Amino acid sequence: MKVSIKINGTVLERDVEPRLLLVHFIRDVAGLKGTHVGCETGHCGACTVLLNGKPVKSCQLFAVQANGSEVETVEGLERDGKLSLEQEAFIDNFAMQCGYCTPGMLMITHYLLRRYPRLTREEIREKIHGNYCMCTGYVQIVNAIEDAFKRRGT
Amino acid sequence: MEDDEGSLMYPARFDYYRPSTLNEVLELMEEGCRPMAGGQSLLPMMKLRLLTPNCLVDLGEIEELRGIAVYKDTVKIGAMVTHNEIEESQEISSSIPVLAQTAANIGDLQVRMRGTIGGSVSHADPSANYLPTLLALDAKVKLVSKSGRRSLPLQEFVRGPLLTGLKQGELVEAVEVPIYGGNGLIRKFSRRKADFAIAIVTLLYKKEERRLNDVRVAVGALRTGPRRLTKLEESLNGRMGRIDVSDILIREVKSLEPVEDLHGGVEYRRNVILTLITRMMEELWR
Repeated sequence: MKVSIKINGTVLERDVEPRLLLVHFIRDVAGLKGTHVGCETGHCGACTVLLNGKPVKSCQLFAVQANGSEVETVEGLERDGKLSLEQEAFIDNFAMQCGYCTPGMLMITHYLLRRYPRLTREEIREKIHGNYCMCTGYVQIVNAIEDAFKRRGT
Repeated sequence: MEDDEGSLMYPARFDYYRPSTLNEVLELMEEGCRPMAGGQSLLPMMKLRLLTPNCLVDLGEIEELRGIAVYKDTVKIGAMVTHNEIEESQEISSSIPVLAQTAANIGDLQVRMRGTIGGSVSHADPSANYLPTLLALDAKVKLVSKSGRRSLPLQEFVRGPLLTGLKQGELVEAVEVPIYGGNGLIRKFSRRKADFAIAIVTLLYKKEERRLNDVRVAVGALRTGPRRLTKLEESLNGRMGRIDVSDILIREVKSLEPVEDLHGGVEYRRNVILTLITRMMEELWR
């Protein structure tokens, strides 16, 4: 089936099988390996991307469902070779160890920054329930997201 | 798992349709095509090949299935309204806050962005958050098929785990929820917040001059579909101030049939239900 999906501003037209998952379209068809495949059961959130501005787990979606839509992945965060504000905040707060969950964490953060003027620590924790990190114990990640809100200002 | 073309393909092959009218959807369903709403339960089952539909009809383009309409006594929620839309809807938060609260407690943010109320009730997972809340609210499920429309009260629609009153070719079009002008509490117990409930209870009550009335207690995660605790409700209605209803509560919880799986057995789950309701009643007396 023919699909046309805009990823980070570039339209990609391909003929795909309906059963191809969006995450595999992003990784194997578009060649963008930043979006990770973690649990593959819809729990871990490593594959989180923004679909028409909303965070979704790209392993829980067929590529054909995203036909005509706009996808944002971690590769789209930097601008002109400069890391985004949330990427800087994650680095400065040591918000990763192995880094596997980081693309998903950055994309949910990207959404939260866009959607909310501010969030309490407790609210941040609630909003990232769908993103697992097996290394950090989340403390530095929540610190980084709080910091990203501060850097952005309200 | 790799298929013959060498790329990753987890589900079995299927034909995919994404029509723009409800009529086309119903025609495809008549021919045996399975409807897909947000896909947050369907897709995982297809990836495990627990389900291998040979045809999927995506409801994503059907305008009639979207939207929240507030009437004098009821709120009509289109089947394709997402959990996130319900949790963030001003109309629902002001007319039926307990429903917004119920939606906000489903899964995680990403799942709530895709998952829909129509998909959830059609799937009828026994541990789904909506079921006890919709039962307590006396919600109706509106159904449509090529042969017409009908409406079923939630308790007739949900017959048991993954079991509904849907007939071949029939689709959930909307959920109609009467407005309840009182207070609502929900309590869900699960090991991690985003997990399915081990026990889940919705409690509604009105308090006029400190007198309780129209109390409704609904329990989910049962083999029977959600159940109201009517004896407990009767003993609380009309009461002023604290009374001891523990005998009635214990007897009524004993008659419930919780689902049983690796997350907990029947007796354990009955105890959790008892604890949740006992704690909720503390808030009633405040």
